[in-house]
Amino acid sequence: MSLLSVKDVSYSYDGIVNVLLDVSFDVEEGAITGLVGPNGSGKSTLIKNIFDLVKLQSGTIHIGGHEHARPEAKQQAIYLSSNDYLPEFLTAREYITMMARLFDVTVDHGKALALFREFSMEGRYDDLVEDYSHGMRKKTQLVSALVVRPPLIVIDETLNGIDLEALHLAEKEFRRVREEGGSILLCTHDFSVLERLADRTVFLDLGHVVYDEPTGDLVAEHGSVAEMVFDYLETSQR
Amino acid sequence: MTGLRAGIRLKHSAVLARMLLVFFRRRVLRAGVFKSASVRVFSGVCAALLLAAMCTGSYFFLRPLTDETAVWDLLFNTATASLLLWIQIAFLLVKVLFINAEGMLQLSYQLPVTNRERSAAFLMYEAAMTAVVAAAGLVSLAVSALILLGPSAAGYIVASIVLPAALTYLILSALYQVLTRLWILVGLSRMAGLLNVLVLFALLAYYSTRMTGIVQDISGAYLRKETAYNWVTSVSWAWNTHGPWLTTAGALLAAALLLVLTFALAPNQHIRQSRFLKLPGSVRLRRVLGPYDWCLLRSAQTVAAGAMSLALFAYLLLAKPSVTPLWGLAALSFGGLYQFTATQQLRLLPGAQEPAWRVYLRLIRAQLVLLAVFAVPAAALAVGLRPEQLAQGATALAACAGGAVMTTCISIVFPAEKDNPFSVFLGLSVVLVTAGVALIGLGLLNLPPWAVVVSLLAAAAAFVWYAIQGIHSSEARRRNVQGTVGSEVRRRGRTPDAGRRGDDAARPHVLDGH
Repeated sequence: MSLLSVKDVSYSYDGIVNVLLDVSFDVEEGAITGLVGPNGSGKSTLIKNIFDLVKLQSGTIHIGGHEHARPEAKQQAIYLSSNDYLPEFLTAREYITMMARLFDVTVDHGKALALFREFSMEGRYDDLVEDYSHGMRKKTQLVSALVVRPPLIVIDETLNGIDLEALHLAEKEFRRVREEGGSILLCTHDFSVLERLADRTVFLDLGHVVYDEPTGDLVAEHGSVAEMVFDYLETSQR
Repeated sequence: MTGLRAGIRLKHSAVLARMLLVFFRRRVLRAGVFKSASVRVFSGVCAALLLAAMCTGSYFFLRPLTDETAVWDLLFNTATASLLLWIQIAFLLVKVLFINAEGMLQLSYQLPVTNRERSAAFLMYEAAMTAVVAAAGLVSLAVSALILLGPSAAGYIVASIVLPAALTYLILSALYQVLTRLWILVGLSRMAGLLNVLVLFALLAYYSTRMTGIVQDISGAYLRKETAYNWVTSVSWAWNTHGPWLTTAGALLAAALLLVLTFALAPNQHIRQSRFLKLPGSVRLRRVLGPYDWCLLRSAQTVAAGAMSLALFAYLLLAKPSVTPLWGLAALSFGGLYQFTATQQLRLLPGAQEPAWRVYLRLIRAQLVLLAVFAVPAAALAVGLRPEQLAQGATALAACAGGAVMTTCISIVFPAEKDNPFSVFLGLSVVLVTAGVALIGLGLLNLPPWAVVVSLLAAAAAFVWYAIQGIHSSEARRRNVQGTVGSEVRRRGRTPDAGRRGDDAARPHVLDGH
């Protein structure tokens, strides 16, 4: 069953150039789906549409079976943005508590503290986010998603800027989310991460879905996800 | 869940509103000198003592008038007139705060709330802020009335404070959304916040000019022992004419309609606001002007200050023949209040390090360029129409230049860090109080004109010196040069090394415990 369903979504900022054109894909339950594409391919606009941050112009988006702008849909998915915007005036504990309240779940501070320790941030859980480095903020975003753990986690390049040790740990946690039946839409430029994690990869270019296939099949056909992307970008198909 | 069918979960809005209140408490109320806990405690104690003194004074003043119903009517009606002003001020302040806090708004986009829930959260937050301002202004009267009149004071409080406050706030909210829709329709959506603030400011200015007349009308009716109708006290009038139940029901119905209107008109998506505007024809001046000049000239705040200046200029030109309209240009210097923070990125560029005095010259030059852009045509017009005011005009322009020196200094000493315009307001208040006291002192001393000029020049020199020192300290802090403000160094010291690596300082933090 698909947890996220995007059907025929088109979007234009100026009414002339289509940033997205008839984009359709699904994210299945218990699966990690990779979303790749060069800058300007429409990835961020697609994510903004999914989270109703821009008004849907055509097509439909459903999250957990609910129309994407409905409160019920909001409960199903968490968005980790590409920037490190976090409320600097809150502590991580307060931020995670607030997120848990918004998602109507009981917060497990023990689990959050354990993740903080694993992500090399021991003793910083009650510090103001203001005092965190860029990498720490990114890791705090990840921890909040892993503690709240809604059915769908959408990660928009959040992994950029974290160290290798944290990346390794994050990958381990993402696999655990998948094993527990959760789904992840992972938007990243790190193709090796996709090859290691993603069950399926959606390749977006100039607002079109170029490929939407199991990652294993793409790797078998092209040699690697990177080869697949670069081969396409160099062809006249574009 | 509450309101789920309508697409609004009030609990979620309340959680977001609470986050906004924490933002206000921790970020806004801890600006400048309020970073110090002892200053905050001292201020809190002073505020509590002031409140107690106001309540006590009000109680003893009103005690002999306990049985004078007409006096209570007068007091509460005049309180309503001033309440409307305070609510407009509070509403404007909250809107100004969020115009400059785009990052703060973006925080809410990661949260699982719908756009309507987000709108509801902001409405709750603004309502709470407005309620605090209204309560601070009228608590002494309300407390005294409750003590002296007992439960019968509740009628006065509801009819003259609670209902008018709620309705005024909701009218302003609906008006704000109507204006936003209007700007979207005419293609000015990215300036909507700024334009709305200008309209609200104009409304506030208009009401403040009318307020004296309104209070005089209310007092006159009391002295003539008449029951005169005044639109400001409509709720109180309805309360006395149609009874409390009908009035309360009517007010609640009106409030509900305004609430629905506000939600219905709120744009479905956040409209990103422009911080900088590319002015037509400005590209031709590329060779003459530098990045510091562009930062000021293209700033949205400068556009607001420019619009205010032109409005004041036109008002003085048309309505005040005895005053040179060039005084209207004084509002231009407000654009400089954010300049130091806005140009911070320029000083971070590799190879951009330069002495503090040169940075200051760049900042002040931008302000003077801005003043010149407006002053040349304005002076030509003013002198052409009123040649007899030439000397007065020169004084006004000199004062505008002095204003630029002052606001540049404020922007450096009280920088609007992290989208917090209240630090600027704080700086502006400090400077205005100091300047006011200095001017009163000069007036009392009755110095000859040359001495006054020398004093003002000395003050300007002090502002320049203090500003250059401020730039020097700011750059030294940024580059982590030893010997800067102790508390800042200690505070920043926590981030790179929080002292949690055990005993071995050479041990990388990331390996701690692994």
